[in-house]
Amino acid sequence: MTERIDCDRALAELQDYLRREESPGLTPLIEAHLERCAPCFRHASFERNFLEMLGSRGAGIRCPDTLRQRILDILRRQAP
Amino acid sequence: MAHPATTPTSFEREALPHLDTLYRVALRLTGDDAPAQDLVQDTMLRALRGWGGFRPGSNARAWLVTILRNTFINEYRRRRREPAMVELDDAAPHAIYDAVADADPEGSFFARIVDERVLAAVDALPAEFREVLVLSDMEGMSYAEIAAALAIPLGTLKSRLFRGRRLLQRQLYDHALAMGYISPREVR
Repeated sequence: MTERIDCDRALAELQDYLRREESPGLTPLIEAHLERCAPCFRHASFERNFLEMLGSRGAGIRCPDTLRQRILDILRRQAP
Repeated sequence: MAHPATTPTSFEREALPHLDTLYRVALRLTGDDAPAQDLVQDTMLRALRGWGGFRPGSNARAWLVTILRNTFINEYRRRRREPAMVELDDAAPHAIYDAVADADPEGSFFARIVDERVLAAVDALPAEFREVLVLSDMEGMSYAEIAAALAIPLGTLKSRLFRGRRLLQRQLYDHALAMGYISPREVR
C-alpha cells in the first residue's frame, strides 16, 4: 500500500476512528499511521481513555421505578 | 383496525426497554431530576400517540430520542438556564493533549475525577454540543442514528462532537489542575 495520511489528517479522524465512525476507506490508513507514528499512537491512547471514561460515567443511572410505574399505568389506562 | 404490530402492547414491548436511556438523556438535557421525569413521561405519551406511524422493525430508540429531543426543545429548553457560549481556539485543536503529553500522556487524570464532576462538566456544555456528546459518547448511539434523530448532516454532527469533546476535556483538565491531579502548563 503506498497511500499514506499525515499526522494532521490522522488526528482529525482519531476520535471518530476510536468510535468506529471514521470516514469510509480511512481505517487501514489510520491504523498504518498509528503503527508507524509514536506521537499519534500516544495521542490515540489519551483519546481512547477519555472516551472510555465518558462512556462509563452515569451509565448506571436508571429510570426511577416510580416513573416507570407511572408510565405503565398511563399506558394501560390508554390501551383500548 | 390497527395492525397487530402497532397495538399498545407492542408499543410497550418496543418502547419500555429504552426508558433508562430516555431518562439519562433527559437528565442531561434538562439538568435536573423533576423536569427529566416530566420530559420522559411526555415523550412516552407522544410516542404512544404517534405509534401508528412507527414502522415495525425500524430503530425504536432513535425514534424515541427524536421525540424526546423535539419535546425538550419545544417545551423545556426555555426553562433551563443555558451556559454561556464558550470560545474555542481553532488554531489549537489538541491543546489539552499537548498540555499533558509529557506528564500524563495516557490521560490517567480523567479516571481520578469523580462521576458527579464529570456529569456536571457535561451539563455545563452548550446545548448543541451537550446533546450530541451524550447521545454518542455516553449512550453509544451511532453517528447515523444521531444525525437522523437530530436532523443534522453527518459533517455537522462530527464537528459538534469534536468541539464538544474539546470543551469537556478543557473543563476536566481545569478541574484536575485545581484538584492537583496534574501540574499546570500553559494551555491556549
